[in-house]
Amino acid sequence: MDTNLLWIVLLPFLGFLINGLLGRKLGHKTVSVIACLLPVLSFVVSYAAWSRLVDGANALHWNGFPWIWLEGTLEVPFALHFDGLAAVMCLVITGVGSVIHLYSIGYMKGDPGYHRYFSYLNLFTAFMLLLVLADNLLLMFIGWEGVGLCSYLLIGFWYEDDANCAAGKKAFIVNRIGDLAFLIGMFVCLQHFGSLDISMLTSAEEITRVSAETLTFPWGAASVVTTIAVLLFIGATGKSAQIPLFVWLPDAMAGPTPVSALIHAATMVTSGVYLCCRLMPLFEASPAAMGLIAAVGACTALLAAFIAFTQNDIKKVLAYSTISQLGYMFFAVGMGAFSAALFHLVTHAFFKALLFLGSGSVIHAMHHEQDMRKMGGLRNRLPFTHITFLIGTLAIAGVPPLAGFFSKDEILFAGFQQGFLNAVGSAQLFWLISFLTAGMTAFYMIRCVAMTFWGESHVEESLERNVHEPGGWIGFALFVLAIASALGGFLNVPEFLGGHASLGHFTGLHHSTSDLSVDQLRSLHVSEWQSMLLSVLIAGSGLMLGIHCYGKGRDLRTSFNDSSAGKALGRLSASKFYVDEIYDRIFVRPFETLSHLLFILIDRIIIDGILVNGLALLTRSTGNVFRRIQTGYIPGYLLTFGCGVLVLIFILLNFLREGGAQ
Amino acid sequence: MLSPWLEHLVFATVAAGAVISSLLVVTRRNPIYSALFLIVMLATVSVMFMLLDAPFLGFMQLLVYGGAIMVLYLFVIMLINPREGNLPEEGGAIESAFAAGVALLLFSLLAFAISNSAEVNKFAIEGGIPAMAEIPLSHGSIAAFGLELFHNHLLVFEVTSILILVGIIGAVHLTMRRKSSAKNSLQSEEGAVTADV
Amino acid sequence: MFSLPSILYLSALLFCIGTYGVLARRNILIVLMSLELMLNAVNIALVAFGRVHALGAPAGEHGGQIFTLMVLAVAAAEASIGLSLLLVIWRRWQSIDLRTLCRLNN
Repeated sequence: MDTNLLWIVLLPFLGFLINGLLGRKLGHKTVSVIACLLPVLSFVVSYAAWSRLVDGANALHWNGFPWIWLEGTLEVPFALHFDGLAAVMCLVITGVGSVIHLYSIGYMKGDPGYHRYFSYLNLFTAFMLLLVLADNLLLMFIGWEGVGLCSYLLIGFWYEDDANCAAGKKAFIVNRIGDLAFLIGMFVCLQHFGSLDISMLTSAEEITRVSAETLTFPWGAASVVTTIAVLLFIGATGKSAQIPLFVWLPDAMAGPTPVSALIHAATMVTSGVYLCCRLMPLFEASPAAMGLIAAVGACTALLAAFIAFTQNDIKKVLAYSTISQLGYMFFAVGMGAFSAALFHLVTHAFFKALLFLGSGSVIHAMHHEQDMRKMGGLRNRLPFTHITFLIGTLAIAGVPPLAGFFSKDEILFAGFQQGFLNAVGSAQLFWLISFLTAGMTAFYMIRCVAMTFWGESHVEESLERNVHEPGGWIGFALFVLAIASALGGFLNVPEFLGGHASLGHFTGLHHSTSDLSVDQLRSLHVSEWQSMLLSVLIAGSGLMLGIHCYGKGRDLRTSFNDSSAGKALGRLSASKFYVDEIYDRIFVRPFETLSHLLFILIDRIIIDGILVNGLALLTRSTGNVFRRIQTGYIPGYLLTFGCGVLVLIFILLNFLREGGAQ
Repeated sequence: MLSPWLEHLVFATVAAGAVISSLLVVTRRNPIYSALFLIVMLATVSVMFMLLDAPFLGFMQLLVYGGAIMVLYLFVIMLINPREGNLPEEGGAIESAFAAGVALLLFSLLAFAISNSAEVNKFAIEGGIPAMAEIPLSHGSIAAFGLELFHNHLLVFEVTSILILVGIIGAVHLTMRRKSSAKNSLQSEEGAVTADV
Repeated sequence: MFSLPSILYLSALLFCIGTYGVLARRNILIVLMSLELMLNAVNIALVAFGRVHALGAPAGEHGGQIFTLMVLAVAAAEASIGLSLLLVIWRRWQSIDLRTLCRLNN
């Protein structure tokens, strides 16, 4: 029983309440202090709780109160659970979140919606923490929906622009599809596990009991566990922007850049991965679902990386990069390397937040210009941003010893292990895809850096004079995150490099290697070395190729672009595989047609025509008929009255006579 | 006590008087005549009450109806001063015939009810209203009536007094000339005068 | 012929005459008087019923008569209100024709 857990969630929520209700009157300074102090406090509380875990305490638990309580059928407590996994997530959310809050002070300065922005951001933090700390799926779903709501609010933060609102709606609606699957997954859980408690859903006996049961679908039978896992995974694809529901994330870049950093890179989009990690035993019990997850993850990683090649909007590049990295995480989940997925989640939170904030710094300096073709040569104007952005780029590319190197290497090794050591055929393919993607990641990221910071300047002259390094909190945030991106990898140094895989052990996601013999361990370590060398090689070659193409070797690029294959690939990438268009044709247009038909048929004809106007017409026409009776002519009334009395007496007499006859 | 024969004669006379005077009430064109015949009719009803051993009611009938209500009627008639010129035009033959039809139908229904009622006919077979000897001597006396009224029906009595109070207030309120409408009323009054002239 | 049915027939006849007056006449004064006629007709019936009803009662039973008294009171109230309304109508339209009260129409 630990009430402090509640404060982790409650503090940012308090910030939301204060800023949301009173922000207009408080003034920018007070709003900033409240908005930033409360997440920092939340971070402090999380840190305190984490240190208790490190000291060897068991998972902390706050029993809370009965929330939805139908005796015997549905018992959902409002309870919080703080174990290693939740601790890591909490620290990432509140830590990175606090830094981004601080960054926002500089970035959002002078915005008319200043207090609104911070109240949303605080609300988001609160919901995200609720999602992470929730003891049961339903409570998690509250957080899940809450972060979706905040994401919607913040994407459409500058709501004067229709495009921003449309992007917000798109994010919300696409997420709904995933949420529906999540919801159905919960129903199935409730049906077969009889509970939504995560401890119940992950307990070995329960899973063994349930995995014997099957569900029959029109297309065949499936085991309950697989059904649940697939449904929850579909929910995760919505939130974490995986195929087929990834289309909302690039559009979500319409929001303020710190929002993109916090919500659409570091925290919210990773909640799908978190969900998988949280329910690890459940997912592990279903090889079919794991295969699906790996396939989706690997394909998403490749697809998004491919699209990122041709994006010219600096934030769009980062958005596709995020999708690609999330694909990596799911690939890791699918390979059973939950620890690697979580590790990559954490390091990704660092370096992607850094990259986004760096891009935000550029955008801020460029007066909201996001097109990289109009940048270039910013290295001299924004030296600090350039350095930090480069650190982030190298980290995501997987250059040792930066954060991304360790985490990505672990993921690739997981694929390698499954594919070649355990000889799973499909895993070999997925590993190859991820391996290629690693090179592609390095390439498009260095392209981004080259286009933005290196080479000749394409900045308009009038603008260029004003471009200067944003200082203050923006610089501070970049500095902190650059440190984290550089050193974050040492959280989980693998054993073959002399580390202890501490993150994996702490969160309980790491598969123990202690039951392996010394020989097995040695051969394992050898293959780990091989895998690592390969990934460094591919990352290095991607980087080199990128530097060459966007530096001196411009001819190589133009000749590739002019070749027919290059043209076709370029068009495919630039058009984002026509996914939006396909969805538009398959789902949106028929839906709109159907809606229009229903609008005409039900709304116009049945409701407006028959029910509303028809009733009015009926009333009026009957009124028109019957008003003739209302002459106001009193003798007429009297006569009618007399006739009525006659009829009544007649009826009364009939009654009396019948009564008498009996 | 009247002898049964005389009693019957009185009843027949009174009944005939009541019917004739009522018919005259409803058929006279000038309300002043109607009012006078109504007084006759009310007097016959009073006699009827006496015949039915309700002397108190008979007196009250004369006092309240003849003395109060009819005076009120006459007073209003005098105030309005209806003459041939401003009497309303009565409905045509068809309307009267229709009203008469309804009235006749009503009467036939009531007569049918009376003739078919076993309760009522029981008394018809026994030969009329029972003689005084068969019911307590005190029946109908003012003392017995008063005792019963104030013992058993006090509340109703008091409520009736409230009703009459409401009636008085209502009458005052309705006929009072309010200041705001004084001008209108004055004009109407003038209009009435000009119409008269 | 002095029996209960005969009194009731008389009462019914008077009532119907009153009804005719109410229905046929257009002079508000006469309509009001016809109403008085109807009330009286009912009163006769009430007293007659009361008289018959008293048969079995040891100390006398005056329900009918008391009811009649109440009707008298109601009639008085009715007359006062009705006549005041009539006065108001007269002041307003210089008419005691029921048809002038057609303002309800439209």
